[in-house]
Amino acid sequence: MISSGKRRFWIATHEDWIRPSLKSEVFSFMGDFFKNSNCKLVCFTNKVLQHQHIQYIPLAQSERLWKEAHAILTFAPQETSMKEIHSKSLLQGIPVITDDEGDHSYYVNHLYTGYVVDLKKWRQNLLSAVEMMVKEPSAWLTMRANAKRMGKIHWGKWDGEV
Amino acid sequence: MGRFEDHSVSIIIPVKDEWVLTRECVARILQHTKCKQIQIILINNGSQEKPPPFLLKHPLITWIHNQWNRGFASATNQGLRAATGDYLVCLNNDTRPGPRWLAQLIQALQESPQCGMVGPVSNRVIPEQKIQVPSLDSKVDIDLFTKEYNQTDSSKWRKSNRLSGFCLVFPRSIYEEIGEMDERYGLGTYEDDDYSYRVRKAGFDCVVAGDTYLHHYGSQSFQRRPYQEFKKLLKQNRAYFIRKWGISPPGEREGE
Repeated sequence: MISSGKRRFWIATHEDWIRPSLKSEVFSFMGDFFKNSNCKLVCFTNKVLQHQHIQYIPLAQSERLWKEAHAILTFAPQETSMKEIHSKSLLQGIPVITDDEGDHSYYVNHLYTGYVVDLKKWRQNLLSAVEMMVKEPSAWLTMRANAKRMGKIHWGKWDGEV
Repeated sequence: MGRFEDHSVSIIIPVKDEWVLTRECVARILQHTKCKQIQIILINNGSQEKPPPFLLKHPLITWIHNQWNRGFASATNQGLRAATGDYLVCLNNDTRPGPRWLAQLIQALQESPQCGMVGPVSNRVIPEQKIQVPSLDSKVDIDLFTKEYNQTDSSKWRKSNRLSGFCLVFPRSIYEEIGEMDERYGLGTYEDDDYSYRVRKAGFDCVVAGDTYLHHYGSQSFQRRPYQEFKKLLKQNRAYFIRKWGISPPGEREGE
């Protein structure tokens, strides 16, 4: 469980952004972690999923709502390119929590525009990432500002890299 | 070419808090840098603490205030853009410059047209620039060692594949040709390897001035976070270097 005091903090994810093999575990873990706090994980999905303390929102509302998230969480399959999602997120100034497989960490600078999770230690790393962003508002604001700046500077230049 | 005294230098120092160390560094620069014009550029990189009045009011200091930590490369680039000197120095705030430190480094640049960038030797630095120093328990010990060590001796200058970003010195012409540091290295690490590689790729040498010692108190800024986080930064930035240039960072040794 995490205490965020009065500060509300929510992380957005999407049914396609978490690899199937991890989805259930990640949701259970995050649900327990966010129990009785002002933090929550919001998953955009049309599927009927049941995990306590996770909020499910229909995909139709995702385009409007994700831009208000404090961070996004993506643990997509290795072969899934996340360049578009991550680039868009950075451009909006939304820090990204992601893994280090495939192209997932290409656009996210660890501790600078987000947090790169070592999948072998994803529970421990995810805790560190969320605790840092929730308990150190200055760290989150720094990531947010750098994300926006890097997004603007590099928008459109990253396509050729992967 | 010409005497060191006839040139202007801009010394660029990104700072995040650590004002005691920064004040010491600046005071030592002012004491031991005797050239025509000196510009010290302090980039306040999102510090929580206020800078001391001595620094805020000093006429030789150009200030750049950032609301947040923009990372080492980005802050250095801000400094480079504001620099007016003939020679540009990127310097860490946790260093203690001593007698002839910059005159000798610039002499190494002046005496070889092939030399594009130069760095000193130190106690805490990459192996190429590291020397064994006796136990330096006090500032008096450090200063005495530095004074005795810094005797101009061109036989101690040697080419290197890379130079550490804790102190990089290059002429303005190199900056104009090579450009700014790559900000994709984010918070920091490997941007110095990248810059060294670009200097050498352009046909210039990176040179370690083995006759010039600069004391380095050592990585203060990354110590706030667990070492595991720092290792991730290294891993990610190393991977970016390899992706960008298609080679491993030149000069790195096994286990680095």
